[in-house]
Amino acid sequence: MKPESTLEQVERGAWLRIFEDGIWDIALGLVLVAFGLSIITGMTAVVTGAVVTVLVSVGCVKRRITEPRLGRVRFRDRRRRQLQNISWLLAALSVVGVLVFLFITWTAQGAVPAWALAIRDHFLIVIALIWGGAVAFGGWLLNLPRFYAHGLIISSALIGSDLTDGYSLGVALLACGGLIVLFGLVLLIRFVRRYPRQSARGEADE
Amino acid sequence: MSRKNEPERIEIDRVIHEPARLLIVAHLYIVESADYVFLMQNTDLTWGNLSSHLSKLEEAGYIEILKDFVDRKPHTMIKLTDAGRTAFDAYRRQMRQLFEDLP
Repeated sequence: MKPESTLEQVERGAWLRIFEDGIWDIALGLVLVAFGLSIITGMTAVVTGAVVTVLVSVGCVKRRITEPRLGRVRFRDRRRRQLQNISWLLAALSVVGVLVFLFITWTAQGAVPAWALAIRDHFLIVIALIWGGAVAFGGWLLNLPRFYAHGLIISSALIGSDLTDGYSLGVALLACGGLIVLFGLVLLIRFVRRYPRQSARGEADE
Repeated sequence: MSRKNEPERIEIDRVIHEPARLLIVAHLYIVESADYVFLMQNTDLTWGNLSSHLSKLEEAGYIEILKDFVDRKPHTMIKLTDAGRTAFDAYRRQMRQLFEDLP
């Protein structure tokens, strides 16, 4: 501990360290890859199951990889509220997803206002702003600046898909998801090398 | 000799004042509870050293040891008691006051 550290800096350091493992980055990337596969293959049910599995597995993976290295800690109310806010954000994103689907369905029925048709014609840009913005906002909530970059990658891929007609939405999601997974894996490897597992008696196992 | 002329003694909580225990208590203060691995990672103490200091803190009533199960395996968490938090707050105030008027 540096002599000039304050308790607040120590707490913030301990909080940020639990995200150094890149597991949330990998989970985000896998979700995007799953959405991309869903669009390309049409196997929506299988892919939805995969997405749910990934999100549910994060806690389990953290218990197997992160906790033996950093220890188990229960943070105080402020940090627990931050994690709760993320849950609300994910829930809100799901609702937005449903609303977008309903909107697209409604605009397909004909006799809709011009503004609605304009949005539908560029709905990828709308999705890019929502998803990219939500991921960046999540990064702000958790004090994780690298999620701003993830948000930018997602937005760029989707907007690029809309504007260039060069590649489909599915391919765009596969690409940006794959990139984020790769980034997460790099973080994970660095994390595992930096923090060896601690056995019950405190000797490093590797 | 008159007791009025005796120098004022500064009473410091020696349980907390010891450097390793100060680090332990400071890290427990900023969280709700933590396990041995967390404390070892953040204080750079060995398991044996940590264990010994935790015993002293527990004897003083400043921490409590909580036994739990994680994935059906026993797991130990350590938490500052209310007395421990109060003692640490008092220690911080005392240290601040002690150095406040120095030139």
